[in-house]
Formats: sequence, C-alpha cells, structure tokens
Amino acid sequence: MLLHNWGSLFIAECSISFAVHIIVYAGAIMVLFLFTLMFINLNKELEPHKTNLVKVAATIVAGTLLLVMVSTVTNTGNVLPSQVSQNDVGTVAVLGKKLYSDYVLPFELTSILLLAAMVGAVMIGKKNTD
Amino acid sequence: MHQFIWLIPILPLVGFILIGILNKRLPIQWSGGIASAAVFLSFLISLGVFKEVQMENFVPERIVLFNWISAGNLNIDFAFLIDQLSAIMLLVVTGVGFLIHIYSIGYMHHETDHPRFFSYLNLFIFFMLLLVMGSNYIVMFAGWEGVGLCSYLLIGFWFKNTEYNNAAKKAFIMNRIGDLGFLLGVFLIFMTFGTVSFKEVFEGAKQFSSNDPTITAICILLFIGAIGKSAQLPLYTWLPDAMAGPTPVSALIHAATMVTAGIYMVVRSNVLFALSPYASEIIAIVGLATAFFAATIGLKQNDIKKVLAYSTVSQLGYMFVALGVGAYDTALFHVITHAFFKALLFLGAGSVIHAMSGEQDIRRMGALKGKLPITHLTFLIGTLAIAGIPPLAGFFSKDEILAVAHEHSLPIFTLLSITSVLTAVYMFRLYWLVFYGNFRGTEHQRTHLHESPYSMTIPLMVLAILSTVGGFIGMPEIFHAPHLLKEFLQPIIWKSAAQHPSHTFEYALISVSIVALIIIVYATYHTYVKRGQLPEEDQDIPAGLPKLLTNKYYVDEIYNTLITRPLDYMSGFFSTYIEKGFIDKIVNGTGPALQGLSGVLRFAQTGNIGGYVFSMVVGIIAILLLTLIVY
Amino acid sequence: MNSILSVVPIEYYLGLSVILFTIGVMGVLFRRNAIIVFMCIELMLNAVNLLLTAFSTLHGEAGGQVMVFFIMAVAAAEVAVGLAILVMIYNNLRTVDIKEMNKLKW
Repeated sequence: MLLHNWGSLFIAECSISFAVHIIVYAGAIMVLFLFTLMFINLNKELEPHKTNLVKVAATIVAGTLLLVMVSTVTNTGNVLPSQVSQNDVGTVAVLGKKLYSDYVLPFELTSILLLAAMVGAVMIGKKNTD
Repeated sequence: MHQFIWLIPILPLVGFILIGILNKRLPIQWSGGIASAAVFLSFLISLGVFKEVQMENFVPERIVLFNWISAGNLNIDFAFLIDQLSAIMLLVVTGVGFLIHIYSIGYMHHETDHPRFFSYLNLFIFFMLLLVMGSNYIVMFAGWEGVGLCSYLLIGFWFKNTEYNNAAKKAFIMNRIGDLGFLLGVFLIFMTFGTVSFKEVFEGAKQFSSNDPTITAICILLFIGAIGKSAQLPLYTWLPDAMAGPTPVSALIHAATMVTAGIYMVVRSNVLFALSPYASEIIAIVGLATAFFAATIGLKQNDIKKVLAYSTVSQLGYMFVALGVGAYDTALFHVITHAFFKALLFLGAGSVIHAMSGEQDIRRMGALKGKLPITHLTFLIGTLAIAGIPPLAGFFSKDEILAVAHEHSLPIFTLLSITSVLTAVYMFRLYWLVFYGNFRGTEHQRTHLHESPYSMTIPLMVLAILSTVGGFIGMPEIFHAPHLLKEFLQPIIWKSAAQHPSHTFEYALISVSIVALIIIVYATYHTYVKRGQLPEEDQDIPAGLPKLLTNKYYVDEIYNTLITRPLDYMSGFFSTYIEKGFIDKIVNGTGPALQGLSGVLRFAQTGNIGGYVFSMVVGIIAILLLTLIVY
Repeated sequence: MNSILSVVPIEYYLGLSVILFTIGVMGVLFRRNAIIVFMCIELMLNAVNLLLTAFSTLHGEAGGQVMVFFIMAVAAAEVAVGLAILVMIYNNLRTVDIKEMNKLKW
C-alpha cells in the first residue's frame, strides 16, 4: 500500500513529497508500528474476529461509502481545468519558499506540536513509578 | 479673585474626601474643624467674588473648567457662571453653611460618628455650590441630584433606626418624582434651543412669543422639579419626615439651602417663566395652596421640629407665590431672609432639644426662658422675624410679597394674609409653650437643663443679628432707602412684575400687620401662658377640625391608600404569581428537564469503540448523501 | 515541462484515492485489533494526501503540498502518542482488543 503511494507520488513528480513521505513513513511511523508489535507480541489467539452480522453490516456500510464517494466524484461535474498547469510546484525550492514565507507560522507551530507529542508519548509510555 | 472661583466648590469637596478617607484616624474634634475651615475658606472667596460682582463695570463671567460631555451637537462644558444671582446665593450657602458647621461641632459632640457627619455636610455644600454656580442646566442638575443624595444620607444619619431610614427613603423617592420633571424639562430645553447653557437658552427664549406652548411645557416641567425639591403640594410630605435627621441638617438642608433650590432655579430661568403667564399662574396657585395648607397643619403639631418643618413648607409656598406673580427678586429676597431666620429657629430648636436631652415634644417643655437665656433671646428674634414684626428681616420680605400679591390679584392677597396670620399664631404658640409657663418635663430633664456651649450659641447670635438686619437690603419705598437687592439683581431679572405699590397701601399694610401681630401675641399668650396649663385640646386627642389638623389632613394616609398600597398589592401579585409561579417555574424546570433527557441519552454512550466508528461512518455517508442531494 | 498528469489523467488518481480510503474504512470496521485499526487510519490519511498532491500538481498550486506536509507531521505526532497509549493499555489489560476497551461509558 505504501509502495503504491510512493509510486504514485513519484509519478506525479512531487519530489519533495515523495522524499518526505518515504522518510516519515518508512523511517518513523513504520518503525514505531514494528516496535509496538514487538512489545505487544501479537499472535493468532489474540486476534479475535467480529461476528458475521457485524461483518455483513460493515461490508454494506463500506460499500455504500464507496458508492457515495464515486457518485460524488462523478456528480461534481466538470470543474477540473482542461489544461494541466505548467507550474512546477513539486520541487524542493518552490515548497521551501512557500513554507518559509506564507506558512511560516503553522510550520513553526508544527515543531511545537511534534515536541509536545514526543514529550507526551514519553510520559504516557513511562512505567508508573508510584 | 477670578482665578480662585473654582476653589469655592472644590474646597468642601476636598474636605469631604479628606475626612471621608481619614475617617476615624482623625483626632475626634478635627473632622469638624476641617469641615468648617473648608467652608469658611469658600465663604471668604465668595465674599471676594461678591465684592467684584458689585463693581460698576462687572459683566457676568463664565468659567469653563473642562469640556464635560461632547456627543453630536450636544456640547456641555463643566462651567461656572458668576453673576449677581449666583454671587448672592454663594454668600448665603457658604455663610449659613459655615455657621451651621460650627454649630454642629457643639451639637454633635457626644456623637461617635463625627467624621461621617461632617464629610456628608461638606459633600452637601459642594453639591449645593455646584447647583448655584453651574452655568448650564446639566451642571445644575448634577448639583440638584447631589444635594438630594446628601439629604438622603443625612436624614438617615442614624441608620440604625428603621423609621429614620424610611424617612430618608421617602425624601429620596419624593424628590425623584420631581427630578424626573426637571430632567424632562431640560430635555425639552435642549430639543427647543439646541443647548442647555443658560446664556444661550435665555437669549433664544427672548425670540419666543408670550404663552408659547413649548415654553409653557418647559416651565411646567421645571416647576415639577421645583415642587419635589422645594416641598410643595403635592410632594411636600417628605419634608416634615425629613426632620428625622440631626437638627443642624434640618437647619442647613431642609430650611436654609437645599429646599430653596427650586426657587433659585425658577429665578435663574426667569426669562422662561416670564414668557409663560399660564405656568406662572399655576406656580402662584400651587404656592398659595401650599402656604395655606402647611400653615394650618403647623397650628396643631406638637413636635418642635415638625412645627418648624411645616412652617418651612409654608414659607416656601410664599416664595412660589412671589415667583408666580413675577416678582423674582422678591422671592429671592425672602429666600435670603428665610435662610437667616429659619436656620436660626432650627438651630434654636436644636439647642432646646439638646438641653432637654433629646425631647422634642413641646407639651413636655415650658419655662425654659431662665435656663437657656441666649437660646431664648435668639429664638424670640427668630419668631418675631418669621411672624413679620418690623424691623426684623421677615417683615420686609413678607410685606413685599404681600404687596406684589396685592398687585396681582385680591384673592391671592387675602389668602396669603390669612396665612401670614396663621404663621404668627403657630410660631407664638411654639414660643410660649417652649419658653414660658410651667416646666412639664421629667425631673431628670429638669436637673439636666443647661445652656448650650459657645460653639452652638455663637452661630445663634450671628444668625439672630442677620435676622434682625437682613431685611434692610430690601426696604420698601416709603422709607426712602434704596432697595439694594432689587438694584443689585437688576441685570439678571428680565421682566420683573413687581411694581411699587402705592404709599397708602404700604402704610395700611404695615399698620394692619403690626396691629394684627399685637393681637395675636396677646391672644396666644393668653391661651398658652396665662392659664398656666396646657389647653385641653393639646393634651387629649382632639376631635373635629383640630383632629384633622393634628393628623396633617391624613395626606400621608391618603398617599398610602392611593399609591403605596395598590403598588404593594401589585408587586405582591407579580411576586407570587408571575415571578414565583411562572418565571421561576420555567427557570427551575429547565434543570430537571435537561437532566431527565440526558439520563436517557447517556445510554447511547456504550463504550463500544466499534459501535462509535460504525455510527461515525454512517454519519459521514449521510453527510455525503446530503451534499449529493442538495447539489 | 510536460506533466505526468497529461499521461496519467487525474481521474485515475481520484479513483485510487477513493479505493484506498474505502479499504481504510473497511479495515477500521472489520478489525478489532487496535494496531490494525491504527494502520487503517494511516491509510485513510494517505489516501487524502495522495489526492491533495495530485490536485496540487493539476492546479499548479503549492498550497496543497504544504497541507500534505502538515498532515504528515500531525500523523507522526498522532501515531507516537496513540501507540504509547496502546502500549500502556496492553501493559494493564494484556490485550489490544477494542472490544475490551469499554470502561469509558455512561
């Protein structure tokens, strides 16, 4: 699935998104998941399954969602530009300028968010000493 | 002197703030000293101002302190106006005010709450000065409301007594009714002239024709304000109750200064009132009715201060008659002399009450002549002055009012003369009962009798002198002396209706009044002293007309039945049925209703995460479907 | 410069996103293992990311890619905290079954 995504991004010539995506997902999130899996030590007995009724309902609901989304997309009509923009938006230079000019405040706030998440994760994951 | 004018009201204000803040930290006698000093300095500056105003080339001056209110085309400066009228009122307020401050030091010496009393007194002086110095109706109104507030505070000075508190509230509320009229009048003035400044309003008013409906409406509204403040029919009932306050307060606020604010206001607006003979007629009739009505009640009151209170109401009625017939300078003349002799009488009464350890019922007094010589003498002068015996102050002003009333119409003159006779009767009844006859108090009171300290007797003597000579500023023509006050006030009175009465009439008036007074003095002496005991009708509960008079025509009861009770019932109804039965039920019902509802709804919170996710997805589908359908 | 979008039309990207998103939703609905649910949430986020990037390129507007950037940051933070919570829950309950996590109710 991830490979799929990367491929798409690569094809779409979004070099920076592509690179960041690989770094964040492969480097950070996937590693985290793996760590957790190791911690939790899942095995077959621990993987319970839902009842058939729930499964049927879930399938129906998910199918309906798919249908609705598809029909929404097709119903939207022709709002897409006929001509693909020739602007080069995916390069590091363009995105970097954007991030450090128009979006500099959210960008800085993101760093605070990440810091907070890090501290929070450490605090939550710490063994209770009392 | 000009640069000091702003100090006149500021000094008492500073005194108020100083005493109010330091309060009990001041040494016990200091607060009285500070308060008196502040008013005395104001008095000195007022004297200087007065001197300047007297000069030949004086032009009325407007001193702008700062721009107070500025909104749209409304522009109000906090400004003082110095002219003949305000100069003379300044002298009366600060002069009499100073004497009463001095007197209060002696009168209140056994009181523990000195600082509060004197700070209120100073605050009152400040607002009163604001009232008389303001150069527009708004500053005047600020002072007008301020004196009302101080009156409330001082009537309720002994706030632990519920009855006194009620009297204070009554005074405040009664005044409020009048103030509403005054305020509406000011609004109408602003609507008509686009300004509230005296100078511009009066100049604008001179363009109007006589009996213009707008001017008449303004005059009547302003007069309603005066009715409240100056205790005229039908709003006079607060003044006798206001006697609950300490006696110096009664002398200062409820006799000499505040209650004359209404008269001052009418004199100040004489241009408007002169343009409206219709409103003037109403004023004359209300004044006349009040004068007569209050005088009859005064005949049968047994509380020494109540007698004087009704006498004040009656004298204020006199002044309004003078205003109504257009003799504005005469009314002001009576304001001045009345300030002297009524302050004197009240302070004398205070001295008597002081000596009698708080006793106020004249039926329990008597034979105080020997024990209180100074009080007796000064009280006698006051009595003679108010009764109108020449050459004391009251004689001149009262005769002038009678003369102008005679010019105006005979019925008014007749009724006013009868009132004047009644005045003499009740004053001498009071005098004889208090100072002559047998002592009717308790043994304890007899041994306790003493003349008051100098701080109380000196103001009495000064006021007695003023009551004696105060009338000479307005001698009738027949004495070939100049009418100083009339000449002095010439520039501010636009159209004075007061003409010089014929000499024959003057002579007749003087001689008749003297003869009548001698008869009254003799007759009252005979009734109240010669017999050696109280007349029966004063001892028992009387019947018939005297009973009606003793109960003050049941006016308070009528007001109670007609206004207070229905209001009480109505508020009771609204309280029980509308408030408790309806609004409270809604408000209180909201809580339980929501609680019940949430008690049911909270079971949707199953704790099953799968369920939550499921419903969330269903919700998203619903939203998407909705957008599909709508667009 | 020739955009790849003229070779692979935008509709393809749209379709792929919708399918990816639906797979994510189905995963969340089907599975009771909290870790799998987490992964499915990531999948849905990435479906949106993909769409944002595609449209950003189509319109020549860099804002969409900036948004992707922020979503990734938030996703990283969320995963960090979420997995920490999960580890804690496992330590206490010895399970990651979401059916068992039902203490927070009326």
